[in-house]
Amino acid sequence: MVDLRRPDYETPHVLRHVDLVLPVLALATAAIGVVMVYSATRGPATDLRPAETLFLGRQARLVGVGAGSMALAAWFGHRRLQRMSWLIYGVMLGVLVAVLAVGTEVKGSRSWFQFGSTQLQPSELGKVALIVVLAAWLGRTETPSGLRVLVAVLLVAGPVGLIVLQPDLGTVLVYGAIAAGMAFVAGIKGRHLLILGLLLVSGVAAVLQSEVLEDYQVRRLLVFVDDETDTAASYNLEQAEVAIGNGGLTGRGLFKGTQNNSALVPEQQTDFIFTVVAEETGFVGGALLLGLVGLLLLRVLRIGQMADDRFGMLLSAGVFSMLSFQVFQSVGMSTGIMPITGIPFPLVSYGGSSMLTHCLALGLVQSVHMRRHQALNRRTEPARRGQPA
Amino acid sequence: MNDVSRYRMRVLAIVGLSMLAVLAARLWYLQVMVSEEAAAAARSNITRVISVPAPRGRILDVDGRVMVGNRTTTVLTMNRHELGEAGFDEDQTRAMLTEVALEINRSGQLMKVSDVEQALHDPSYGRYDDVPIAHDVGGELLVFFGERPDRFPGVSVTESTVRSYLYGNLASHVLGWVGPINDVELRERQPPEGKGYRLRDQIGKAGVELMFENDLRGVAGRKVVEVDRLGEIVRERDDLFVSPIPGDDIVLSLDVDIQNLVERELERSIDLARSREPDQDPNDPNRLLPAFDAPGGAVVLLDPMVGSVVAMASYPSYDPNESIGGFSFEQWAALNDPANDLPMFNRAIQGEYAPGSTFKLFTAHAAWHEEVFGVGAVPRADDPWDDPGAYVLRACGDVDPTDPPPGCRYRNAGEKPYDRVDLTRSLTVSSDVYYYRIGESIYTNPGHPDTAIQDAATAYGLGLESGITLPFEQDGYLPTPANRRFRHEQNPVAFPEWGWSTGDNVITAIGQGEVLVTPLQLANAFATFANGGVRFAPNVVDRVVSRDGSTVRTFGPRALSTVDIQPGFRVRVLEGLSGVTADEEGTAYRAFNSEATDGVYFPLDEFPIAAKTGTAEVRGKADTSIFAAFGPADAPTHTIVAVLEESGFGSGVAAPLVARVLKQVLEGTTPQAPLAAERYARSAALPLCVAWHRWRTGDTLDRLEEADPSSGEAGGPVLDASGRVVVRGIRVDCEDLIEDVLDVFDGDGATGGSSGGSG
Repeated sequence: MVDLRRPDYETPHVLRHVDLVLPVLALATAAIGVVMVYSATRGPATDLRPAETLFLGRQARLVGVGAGSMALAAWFGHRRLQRMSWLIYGVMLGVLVAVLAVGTEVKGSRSWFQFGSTQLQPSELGKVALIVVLAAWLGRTETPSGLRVLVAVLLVAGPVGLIVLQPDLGTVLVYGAIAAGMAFVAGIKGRHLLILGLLLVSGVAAVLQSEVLEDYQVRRLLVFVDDETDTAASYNLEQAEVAIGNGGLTGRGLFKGTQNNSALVPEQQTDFIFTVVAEETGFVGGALLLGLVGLLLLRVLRIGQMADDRFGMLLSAGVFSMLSFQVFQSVGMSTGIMPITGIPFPLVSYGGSSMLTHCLALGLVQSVHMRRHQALNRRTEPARRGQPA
Repeated sequence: MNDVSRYRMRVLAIVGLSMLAVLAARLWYLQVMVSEEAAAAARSNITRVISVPAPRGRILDVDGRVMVGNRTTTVLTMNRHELGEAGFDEDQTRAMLTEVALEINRSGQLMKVSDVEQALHDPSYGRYDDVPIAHDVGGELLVFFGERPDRFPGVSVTESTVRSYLYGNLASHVLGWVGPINDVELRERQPPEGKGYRLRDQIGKAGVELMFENDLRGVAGRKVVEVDRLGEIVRERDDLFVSPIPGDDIVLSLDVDIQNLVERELERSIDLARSREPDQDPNDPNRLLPAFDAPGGAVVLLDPMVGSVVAMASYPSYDPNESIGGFSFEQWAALNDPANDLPMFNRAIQGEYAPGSTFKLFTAHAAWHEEVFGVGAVPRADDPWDDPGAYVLRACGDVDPTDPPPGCRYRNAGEKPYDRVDLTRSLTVSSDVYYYRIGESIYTNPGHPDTAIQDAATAYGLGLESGITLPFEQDGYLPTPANRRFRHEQNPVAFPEWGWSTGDNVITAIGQGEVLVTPLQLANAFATFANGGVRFAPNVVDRVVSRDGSTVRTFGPRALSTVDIQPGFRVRVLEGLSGVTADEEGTAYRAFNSEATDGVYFPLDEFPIAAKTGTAEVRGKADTSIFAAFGPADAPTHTIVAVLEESGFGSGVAAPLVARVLKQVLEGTTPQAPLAAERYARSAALPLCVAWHRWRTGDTLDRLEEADPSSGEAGGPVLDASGRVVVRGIRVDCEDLIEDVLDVFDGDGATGGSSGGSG
């Protein structure tokens, strides 16, 4: 006899709990990204010179790869990663050391592995690794002790130190945002939070003072403080703001942004992709994209709240922190309220590493949703065993 | 999951979403509240306005033949900024410049490395400008340097439009030249609407190019291009293109063929004058008189009935084509070096010369119209009297005529006596004594105005700017008691003399002393007499026409004043002046009736010529040779004046020149003026043609050997079996060429002369 009121938890059917909202929102965002990357890279099309479609094709393929990796991560499951967290941490440190040794230098940062024609940025994938490691470490106790917080700080310091050496300021900030958000949600004590905050501030000051940062990075940060500092550095910001303002309420129309077509904003298909969105679709389009991202973020957080284990909850909080900070930083620097540091807009900017990272992260969040009843199941397991057949 | 985490999760959500809200607010501010500014910035951001220079108007001769046009040239430019960016060290830079110079030479323009360096460091260009290094380089350099931007950073080869003076140095003083505008011109010139200048725009610097700058200059157009952030042109906005309006054409009154004839004859006469040995000093057999240096001269040919300039030549001249791309320092220095006789100086309107005996026309005019004849010591105009060859001032009283006190005795040239001289004959034989007497009488007889001679000369326009439409005209000088005193008071050091004596009046009467006129003034004065008394402001420009052929404005005859010439006077003077060429005792008889002294057998029966020789003494130098003529005497169509510095008697050099010119002009046999390119082709083809001639006829033409202008250029002209040579696309027929050259050689006899082929 089968008790229809009781689901068969012996053979758990994870697909029963697939969340459809999450991938739909993510793929919708990525689809907007494909169109915008095309607009940013097609160049001024004339009779003699057809629109450039190289980047369009690549980005579309990347979305496919991303969707696949999202499914793969969801299938593999976050719990297995939890058990492998130390291994993951070790691999992450190893790869980050390797990139410093044999990586390729692009625009002053040694952040890339070059495989033939494709490039991989390990510090991007490292974000997911850090989220997994921190969630595993902080999720072991309800209220992390001082010692546990200290170890967590050291866990973060390892990869951050290596990335500072690349140097890649933007990614360091994302790592910091991930750590801060997760530590906060993990429930560490107020005074520990205060100490962490002071640590962060002094850390940033130390990095700025040291000679690790390239001159141009310091200059860009100073531009944010004082617009008149350097015309060459403030140029990016100025052109980005002109592009956004040029969009107006409803935009210049798709493929019709003059700033975009004249390639006046540097890095407009990657870090400054939002300027293309804002110029061509206006405030309406920009706000819609932000709204879409907002819904995605809410869904991530909601899944975290629904998770029945601390690991899953912290994982979602980490992904939330990562996504929200990157969106804020990416759009913030385009609109002049944040310093210019190279951070891509998640799912929208052109770039494989970024796309892969965010899809993997969202896949793990999906896994949290799919497996939210497994812990309950495990707790009830001994009882069932005790029952007579 | 504990409550703390749940609570903090909510806080995190609020923080995250409020960050999105901040972004949305910022977006609203940028895109809705201050969007206008950004949109304006975006518009100017992506568009650049590029000025499209308008073609400059052409300059045509009276028959519409183009004398000055425009052509495209290939220019090699270098950019100092891009060169600096390349980070070459000194040796590398020098090596690169050497290679550039080598390529320029290979393409046919001679240039040293130091020339390239000098051009590159021209201080009038900014760091980011493309500095022109060489003009008229070969088109193949465009490909050569275009393919090697790494080896030659900042070097580019482009096409640009430049001025083209099709007849080379012909009429260069009338045409002028153009050059890049300078600071002063930029500041002070007030161009008409739409014709504003920008730094380094071309502007007329002399002659018609300067005088008619506002007509010649077109209205620049503009094109709008969209650029990317590197300044690269992304696309051109055809909808915003404004096409340039070409400048208006200037139609001159000059006739190219006659101008060419006049210039060639002037050059030839100068050469002839220079080849003569200096005369012996009659007072000292051991000394020579000053040599005939003949540094320069001028010829002006006017149409006396309307006052237009048919030809105006000044020697030496220059080739305005050399101004393209700017005169080099050396060229400019050479052109303004007095040791080279100032080639840019337009002697026809800027040279001031004592008119000598040509001035007697105006002294005679004063004497007739102030009724000097038959009063006091001056016999009536028709009463002949014997001129003993020298004149002692009556004011000196009874003195020994062979040894008078200084300043009392004035002589004819060579103290030559003339018997039975009346007004008519005084002009024909050019008796000075006849006019000394008039000069003294006018000044000493209280019945005559003291300045009657100067007043008459002024009425004919001497001492006044003629009003020709050319820049930098000089006004000459007529000495009078009043302006001599004025000049002394202004500058006592330079002009110590302030008084006026009878002697001053006597020498003024024969156009010596301080009298100075320009060749144009003299020609215009004779034209005034020739046409019956109307003084015109000479026109060198006939009309201005737009590119579509419609007339913008015309310059008709510009009569300034009339001179009252009584018929009795006119008849006597015409007869006297005609006698100069036709009477055996006339001073220019040989020039018009013999070929012995380079003159011609002039058809005086058909075209009677009224003329006057002038031989002006210049202290310490050989005489200025002057000749003024108009013809046909009864119905004049041409007035001509020739002035040759330090060349001797007017009858010896200037008169034959005028005879040769007038004969061809009046008979209508003026040869066609060759274009500069044709002249070049002919001189380049000559050696081959000589070889061809030798092969065909066996005549070795030894007499041409020394005049061989060049040994031909490498890869240059090629001769075909039928005796034709093609030089730079221009075909030269050897038979014609040899014939022409032999004409010049055999015609000139031993003197050689210039072949006219010095293109």
